[in-house]
Amino acid sequence: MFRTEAVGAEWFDQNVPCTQACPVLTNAGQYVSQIAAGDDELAYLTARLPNPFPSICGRVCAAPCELACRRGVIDEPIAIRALKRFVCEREGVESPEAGRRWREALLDQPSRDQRIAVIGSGPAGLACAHDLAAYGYRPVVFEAQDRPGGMMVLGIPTYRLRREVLQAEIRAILGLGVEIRTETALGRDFTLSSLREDGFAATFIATGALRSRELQIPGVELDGVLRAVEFLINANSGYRVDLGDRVVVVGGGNVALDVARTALREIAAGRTQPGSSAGAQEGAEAAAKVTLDVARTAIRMGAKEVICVALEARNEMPAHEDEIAEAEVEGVRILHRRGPKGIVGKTHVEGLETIEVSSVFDADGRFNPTFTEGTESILPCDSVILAIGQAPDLSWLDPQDGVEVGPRGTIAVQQDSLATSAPGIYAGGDVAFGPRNLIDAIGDGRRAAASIHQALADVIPGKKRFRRMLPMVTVPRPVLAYDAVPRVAIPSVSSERRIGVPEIELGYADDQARLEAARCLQCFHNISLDVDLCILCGGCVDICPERCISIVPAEDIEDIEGATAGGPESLLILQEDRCIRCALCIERCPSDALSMTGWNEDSTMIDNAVPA
Amino acid sequence: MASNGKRRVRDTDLYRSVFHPGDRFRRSEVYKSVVRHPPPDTPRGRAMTSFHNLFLHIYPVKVPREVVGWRATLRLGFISSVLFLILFISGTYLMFFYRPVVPQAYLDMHDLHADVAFGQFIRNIHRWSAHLMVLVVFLHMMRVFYSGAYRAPRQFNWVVGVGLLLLTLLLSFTGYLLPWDQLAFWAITVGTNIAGYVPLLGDNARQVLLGGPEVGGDALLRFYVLHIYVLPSLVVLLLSVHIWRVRKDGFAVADREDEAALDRSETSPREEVEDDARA
Repeated sequence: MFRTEAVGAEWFDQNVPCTQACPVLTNAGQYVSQIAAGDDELAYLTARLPNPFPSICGRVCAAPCELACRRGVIDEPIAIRALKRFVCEREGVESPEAGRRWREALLDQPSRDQRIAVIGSGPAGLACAHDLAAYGYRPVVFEAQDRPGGMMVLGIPTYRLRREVLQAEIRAILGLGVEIRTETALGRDFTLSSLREDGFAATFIATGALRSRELQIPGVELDGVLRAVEFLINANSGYRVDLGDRVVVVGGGNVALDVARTALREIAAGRTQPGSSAGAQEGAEAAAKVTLDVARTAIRMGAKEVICVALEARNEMPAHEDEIAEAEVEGVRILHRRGPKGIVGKTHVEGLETIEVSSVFDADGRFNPTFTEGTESILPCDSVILAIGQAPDLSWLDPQDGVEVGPRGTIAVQQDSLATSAPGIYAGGDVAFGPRNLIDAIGDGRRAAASIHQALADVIPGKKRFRRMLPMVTVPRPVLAYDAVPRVAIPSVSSERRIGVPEIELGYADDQARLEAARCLQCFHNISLDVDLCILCGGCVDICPERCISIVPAEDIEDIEGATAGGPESLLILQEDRCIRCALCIERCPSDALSMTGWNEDSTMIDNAVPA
Repeated sequence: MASNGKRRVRDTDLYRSVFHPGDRFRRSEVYKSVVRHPPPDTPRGRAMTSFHNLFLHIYPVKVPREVVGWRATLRLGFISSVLFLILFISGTYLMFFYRPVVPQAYLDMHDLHADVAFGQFIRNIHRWSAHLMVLVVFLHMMRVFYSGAYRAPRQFNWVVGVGLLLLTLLLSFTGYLLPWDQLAFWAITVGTNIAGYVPLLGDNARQVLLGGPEVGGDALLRFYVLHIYVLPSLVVLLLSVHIWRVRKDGFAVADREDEAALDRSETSPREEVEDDARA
């Protein structure tokens, strides 16, 4: 039995999984196809307008789009992130071309007088300031550290992200008319109420989650026990951290979660849907990434041996397989299915006592580790780094501000508008959701800016549609055998030369990028059927190489109108998730009933990218 | 990494020129202008190969699994077509050495055995293929009859098939005279005399076939023209219609597929490939 579902604009949006998976709704398929066609300028515009940090995302994004990519069902997903880096290197802030067209496309709003305070200059804060500037406001960003960037500068190791790229990206945002005040900390130099007195029309809090969680085991107070965030901040700020020869990193991702609400199997299969469980998954992913970052940074800091202790088996770890492999290539050893029981030593760390994990998840798929007694052993080491997650530091919070705190120690916000319980105050990023991916934080910033704009400019809320159907003659396929081309490996520095700070991943060369981009199935192209022309010959069913077209009798369809009297007798069904857009059915169709249409962006892409 | 290194070696021109010598040819403009489909190593590649190739598109892109099994058709229709092709090619060779004139026809047939390279061999191929074709076409009809494959919607194709059987028999009959020996002479005399007994038309038919009152030079020429031009042309025409109708009407075996078989055909070709790989 089949069910019917209305096919409208929303359905066409949903039908492009990469775009839907992206928190800022970047139309990944579109810019990948534009790269394949050789139009880098347009591709950059497509990537830039919904995302203020394309050059950074091109290097470090967790790429939820790749998990959702339908090409992954056939062989491997498109290397969307690497392609984004490719196009940014040609057209982005790090290129000599550095942004002219995107600024024109962005800054078309009348300027407004209101000043808006953005606290924190991490991805969420800067994204919010960026959008506010684009809406015409005068955003002021407050940053406690001496330089802007938040976790992008403090948490992301330089071997992932060159600092010049980060600085160029931030400079471009500040160039839109964003004012920044560094070394100005909330609670020390100003408060929420003082901002209101200073005449700020609204406030967005994005102070992050910089406080490390504590592990309740004996020995955490010993010398040589470090917290992941402190370690990364010190290392990325250029301070020397004395680790000794043998370093143990505790954490594998899930340990950072209070409750893992998603069965990991689901994550591995890429079947998680955006929704309540996504937060847990992002948190686990982010924590796993921190664990591996810490381990790899420790190697660069001169440690001779780095061992990661993870509760999970390799396939249970919520980190990308690539990242685990990369860390191992560099010499990080991962000890799977061991849990920390205690840290031994007199005044300084001498070893970590570990215990075997018998199961990580309970029958309901919840994170609930159990251990096998009597399997304790001691892992000798000189320092222990605890990468078990972070929480926001809310010590600045004054009860009189009226900002409520949620059960997980984060600021409580409304999911859609990111408004806190206090009027005119919004929050997003790690401070509201706990540690999450960079791109989610960017999405929060953009969402908050849209809410603030809606509240201040009194814009009538409502979904605007910016895409429309365009008839196409044929699907452009620059590579004939696009379905057979395997994923092009992303070039990287060989393992023996990975010392110090240079970026490990090298971008695609021109021909590599075009080939990889040509693998895209182009899900934003749709096959349309003109029922009046169809002669039910079945030619399309015959030719379809993926067997996604079928003709079924109307009795097999639930709730179809007029199935019994005078309605259609047969229906042509297309399984979108299996369609590779080869267009053979259209070529085959003798009566011209089938045609290809493109679900394309209109010129006003910027508004479209704001999640409604 | 090791796999990266291996890939790098495999991508070098030297490696490919040794282990994939066809590469250069396949990259050439000539090849690309003739062969317009990607290699058949993905479902789409296979579909395009079938769709964009005159000879392969005789078959549909997808056929039910049962159809490609031996027992469904015993391949008798296919074998008949191959035999016809063999007869066409070998007959063409024989035409270079044969004159349909009395008495040269008989002498040429003899010379074929003694003086022509592979003459006797090719003639025997032609002769035995002809006998076999009559047999196979007949078996093919029996298979269609006993499996009920002549029923609607294939009734028209059954009639076309009967026409092809008649043409096969006529080709065999006309070919019998061409050696112009005693056996040929008397066999045709008997055959055409039988034709003479057909009510009303009989005498006229016999006259038209022989071009005179008895088997002679005119009869030989007429049989020759029928054998090498008229009848084969009709076979090609009817055979094209026949195969085209097979595609249009679908495979008879598919009608008998039960629900389970239909369910199986719903699996994607990729899954099948994986199934095969596991098996």
